[in-house]
Amino acid sequence: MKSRIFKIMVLGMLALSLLAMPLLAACGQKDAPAPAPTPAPAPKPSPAPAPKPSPAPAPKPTPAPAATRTVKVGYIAGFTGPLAEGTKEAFAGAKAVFDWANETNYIPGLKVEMVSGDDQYQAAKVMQAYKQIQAEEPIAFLSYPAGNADVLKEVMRRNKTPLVNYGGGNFSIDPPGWVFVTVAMYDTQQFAVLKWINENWDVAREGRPARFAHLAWDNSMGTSSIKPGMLYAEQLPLVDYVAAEVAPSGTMDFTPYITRLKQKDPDFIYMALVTPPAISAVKTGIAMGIPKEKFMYFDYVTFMWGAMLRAVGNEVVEGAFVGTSFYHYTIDTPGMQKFWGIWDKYSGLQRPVGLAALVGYNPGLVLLEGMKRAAATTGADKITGEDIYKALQTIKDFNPGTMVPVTFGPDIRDGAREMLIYKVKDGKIYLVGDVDKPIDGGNPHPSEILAAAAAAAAKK
Amino acid sequence: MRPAGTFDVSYAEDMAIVRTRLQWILVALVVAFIIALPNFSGLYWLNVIILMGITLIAVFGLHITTGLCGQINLGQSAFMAVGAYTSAILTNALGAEWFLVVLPLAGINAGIVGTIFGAPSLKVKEFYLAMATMAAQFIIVYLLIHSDEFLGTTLFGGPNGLGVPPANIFGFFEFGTDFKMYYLVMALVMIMGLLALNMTRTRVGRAFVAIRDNDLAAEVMGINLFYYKLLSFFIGCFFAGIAGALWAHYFYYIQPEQFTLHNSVWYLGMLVVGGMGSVLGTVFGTVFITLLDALAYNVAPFISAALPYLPQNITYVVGIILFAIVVIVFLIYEPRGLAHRWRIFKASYRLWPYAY
Repeated sequence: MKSRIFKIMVLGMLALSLLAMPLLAACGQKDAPAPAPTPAPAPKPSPAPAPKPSPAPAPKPTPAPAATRTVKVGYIAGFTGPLAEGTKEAFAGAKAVFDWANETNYIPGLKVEMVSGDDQYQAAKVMQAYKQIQAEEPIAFLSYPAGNADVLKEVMRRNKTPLVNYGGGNFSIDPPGWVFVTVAMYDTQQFAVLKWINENWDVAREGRPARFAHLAWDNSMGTSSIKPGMLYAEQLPLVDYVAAEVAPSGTMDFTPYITRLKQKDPDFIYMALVTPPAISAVKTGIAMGIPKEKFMYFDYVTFMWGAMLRAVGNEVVEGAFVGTSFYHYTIDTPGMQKFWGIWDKYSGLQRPVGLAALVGYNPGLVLLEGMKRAAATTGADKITGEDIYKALQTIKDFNPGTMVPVTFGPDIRDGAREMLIYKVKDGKIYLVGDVDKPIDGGNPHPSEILAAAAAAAAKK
Repeated sequence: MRPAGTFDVSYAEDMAIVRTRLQWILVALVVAFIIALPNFSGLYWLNVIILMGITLIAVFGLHITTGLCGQINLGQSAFMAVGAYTSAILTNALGAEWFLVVLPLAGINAGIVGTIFGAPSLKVKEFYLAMATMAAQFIIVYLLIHSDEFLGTTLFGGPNGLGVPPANIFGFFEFGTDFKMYYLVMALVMIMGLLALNMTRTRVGRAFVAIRDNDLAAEVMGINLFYYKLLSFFIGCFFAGIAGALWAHYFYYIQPEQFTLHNSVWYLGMLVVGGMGSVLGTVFGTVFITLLDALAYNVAPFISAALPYLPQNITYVVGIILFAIVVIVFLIYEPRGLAHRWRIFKASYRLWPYAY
């Protein structure tokens, strides 16, 4: 009897506990932190490398006002994993921007501290990295590579926190939300390249249009530009889109794909791939007798250029074309000089041989501009993620001097639609054309081409 | 072995899962701990625990298919994808408030797909069945990526994936934060755990065990192998579907790359480490491996900092290396898993301070 009473008591307690669960949940005292103003919190250690002092000159600091508020900016990237080497430079580039801004009082009354989360370059770990730093209540985020924008899109919207991503797939910006992308989208990149080939192909000498082929992994980065690219090429008289070879994501042996490509005898092989498979594909192509000059490197590969040169040797990439929305270090602009000043003083790293520093620096500069505009409107002591989100939409033709100008708007989230084409010569990268005349991949916009094709199909 | 003095005097007591007063107190303490946990866990660890709970549900399913029935399944992650996409598509179409209706549908859909891929179990066993179920992993992910080509629809989002609304109960209550999601996941972990536990004690569960131990003998005893093997796949994948649906509504976004073969192998490893055929072992194995992974995740940056001459892309595989070592160690020294260790501990504790 006693035992039964005891069991009834415990069962009753358990039932009450289960009932209490939704009640506790409804209270929601642990809800996702709203991006509200926070009084300068104490800095916490981050796994990223700390900047070391450097003797290089930098802009002179101006005295900060007495009352300053410290806000946090989150940085999500692969600090370990296949992109670790580039991430080290990219994070240093972004952190240098904010350290410089803090010291020069770039936004009066506001200091920015960076916190970082490691996604190990795995889609499934991105959210974990986000949660890792969400507790520190960042009011804005920076991230790369492009896939992170897709994963974080919804959570950014829900938590009203803007994300300035280095790159992004169309999913991340359609419909326009809280993700802002700084480099040209995958399809815009391909449009720019097709346009460039069409304008520069020596048809008088060759007697035929250029044959263009696409080689990619089966993922968003690899495949999203194929359909619009093919449709656009139909409008170009001097480009034939002869093949699109798509290998399963993770493929490193491209032999069957290169074999099929070789049969089409392309003049240009556009690789929508990250660095390791791109290296593998080029080596396979060379072994099969395809001239290495035919391979074109784009997007993130460009930023790993230094690593790639070290990995495969200059002779393998000699003569190849490279494309990005960013300026290479060899382009001497006031913006690039400013970058070097900031990098040398605040990054704690040696001058980079890759372009990854700009992967962090450029989005950092764009976000800083958004924060400055938000602080000017709202006041540094009240600035929130929502203010930055609104301010970012007002950025128009913002020219960091280290990449093509950036423009956002109420319906525009792909900030850059232009590309610069480079060529490797004697182991160095040279700009093809004029830095002030980048190739516009956004006119016509890929979405317009797709919409027109869909309308035509519907008519039929 | 039960403690001296603990005996049953009725069929109800014989059937009870929780038998002693101490067990009742422990259960109450565990539930109280689960309820209180989010108040002191912090957001990051809350995330780890939520993912642990979702994984646990999927591994409960694997416990039924592989642990109880002996049918190896290397596609559990893909079946999670089926559940995740079912829930995402239905809640996007009908509205998030239908979550409670959609959740079992996600499980049923994953169960049906799992049953199709489990059909080869009627003809092949062990290594060959592993190959057959591994095929599910590749086929399902491939179909999700290329759905527009095969099905002529962009419903599945292709390689871009799909946005998913937060879980919602008929418009009255939204699980829109980690704190709320935690309680949903934990409630489902308890329900599914209880189902898995009771499964062992049913006619179906005993048929599964008979098939696992000797399928020829089981068939001679009148057990319909065709029916029960497929049923084990259905139930196991039903659990995976529920886990997948929770995954989708927790992350608000799904894409095929989230459901990898890597995950399927980890789930099987959790079962090995915990102890095949034991629900408690499943819990032990999942908790142990998840914490190991979290530990590796947090330690990797410090290894990078401490050993700068190591390439940074090495440190992120710390988790995989630890996982492999743990599985090998368990297979050699404790093939019956942590559950067996726990039984030994309990037996020793009862006799302490006297030796056997």
